[in-house]
Amino acid sequence: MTKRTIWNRRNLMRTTAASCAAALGLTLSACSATADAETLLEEAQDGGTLRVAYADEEPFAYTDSDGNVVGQSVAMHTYLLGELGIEEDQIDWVQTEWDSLIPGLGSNHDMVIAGMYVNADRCEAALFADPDYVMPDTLLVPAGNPENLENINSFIDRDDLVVGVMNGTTEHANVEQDLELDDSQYDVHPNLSALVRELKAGRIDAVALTDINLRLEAEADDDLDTVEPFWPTDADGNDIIGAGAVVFPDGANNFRDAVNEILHETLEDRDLWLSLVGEYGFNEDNIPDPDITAENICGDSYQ
Amino acid sequence: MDSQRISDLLPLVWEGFVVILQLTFWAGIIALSLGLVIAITIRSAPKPVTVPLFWFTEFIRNTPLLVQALFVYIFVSRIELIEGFMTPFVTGAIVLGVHYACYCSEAYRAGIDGIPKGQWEAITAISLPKSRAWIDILIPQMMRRCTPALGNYMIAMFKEVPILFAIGVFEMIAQIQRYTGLSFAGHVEGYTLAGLLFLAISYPLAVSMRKLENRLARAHG
Repeated sequence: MTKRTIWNRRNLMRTTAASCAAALGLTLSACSATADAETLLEEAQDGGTLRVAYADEEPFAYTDSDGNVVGQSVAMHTYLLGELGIEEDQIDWVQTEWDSLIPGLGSNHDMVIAGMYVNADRCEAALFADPDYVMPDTLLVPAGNPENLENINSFIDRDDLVVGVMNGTTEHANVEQDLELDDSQYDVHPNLSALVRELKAGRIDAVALTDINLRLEAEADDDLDTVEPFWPTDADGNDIIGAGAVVFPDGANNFRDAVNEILHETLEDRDLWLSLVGEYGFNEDNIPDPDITAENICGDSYQ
Repeated sequence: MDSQRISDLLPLVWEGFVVILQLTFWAGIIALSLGLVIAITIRSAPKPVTVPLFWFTEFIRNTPLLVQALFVYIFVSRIELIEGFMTPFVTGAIVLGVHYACYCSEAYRAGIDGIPKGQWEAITAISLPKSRAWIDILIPQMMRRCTPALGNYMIAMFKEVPILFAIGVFEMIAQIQRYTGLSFAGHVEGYTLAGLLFLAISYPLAVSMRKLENRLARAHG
């Protein structure tokens, strides 16, 4: 006769305790990976593999129809890494949910290349390099812009209109906190395709998001247009500059500083910058001014 | 876990949770009452009514809630007369309610089928009016048989509300995603809070359903 496990309360608890301990062990071993952050650059320069997370978002970092990871941030940073002696074939691309890009740093991946905007809250959670592009916002509107909208502030005085924003984006925070629009003046949806659906159904009058994403959407659809790009403003009327950068795990300061150094050289050479990222719809307006650094944007939370 | 994050998140999570509770309440009323109407109609109405109704419930039960919600929401945007009334919340409550009404109707059906044949014969024998037969004889007997299944459906329905963010119902999970999307922190804290809140409602609900079953069983045993 084979021995069968009898599931009484005691051995159930014992099994549970054992699996909890195993799970905890896994979590701890995952955490210990962060301890290697200091030697990350050295190991990569010695020919080690660098695990890089991207969110599959056009035009920043996405998988093209041939299965290659391409985009503005990818072109920019494979060039910068190459200057540091880290070849493209050393990069192991890890496609990751946008939400997990920062929490997974150090365990799931060693670096994030996703064109992620730098802001004070995010700086608290990880190390941001300096921005490699800036991008204004625009509005996606029905063809011909029937309501004559100019920018996101146009909604302040138009309580008959509704603007659509994506959940958790800068624009969402902007309409809610800075512009203090009434609940009935904005709708929140989980992604761009839901927003386009709402716009076409006539339930919202415009979508507010970053310029290039909406421009790509409008170019692909005759029923949609975009307005002139603009900078959203905060409650005091100052421009909110959308600037994207790569991200490193805590402790990888030397890696981040090395990338920054070459980045600044590259930003000064406009022709080089354009030759790297021009094909993804970026132009001279997207080159950040020298004073747009992660430290200036984040202030106290910069690490 | 960071206590600052938790205190930032708590009001948002709670706000979203209240939306879930309200939506569950309205959808529950629709599911329980419409389900009973469907079950009784299929049992007693003439064929031209019951056959389409049967296929309607089959269709609803065999297609995903997410697709139904999106379909209805996009569809109503084309009918100007009801568009203003059909907010994401109202659409969500109706879609969720009708979806679970079709499941509940099956639970009711099982309850009706479980009533001993002698009861039906007795009703016919004393020529009790149909309405009185249902209200006084049949429904009390079937309720005791279908309460466990109905209770499960109510709990399942409660847990499925976050799907409705797809049509813009701004509930608890959407609130957490909003916070984590803006700050890139608070994932662990947010989803732990969400899980605990769901548990805080689901578990007592499950226990009280069990108590209700026992009481019904004693009352009609």
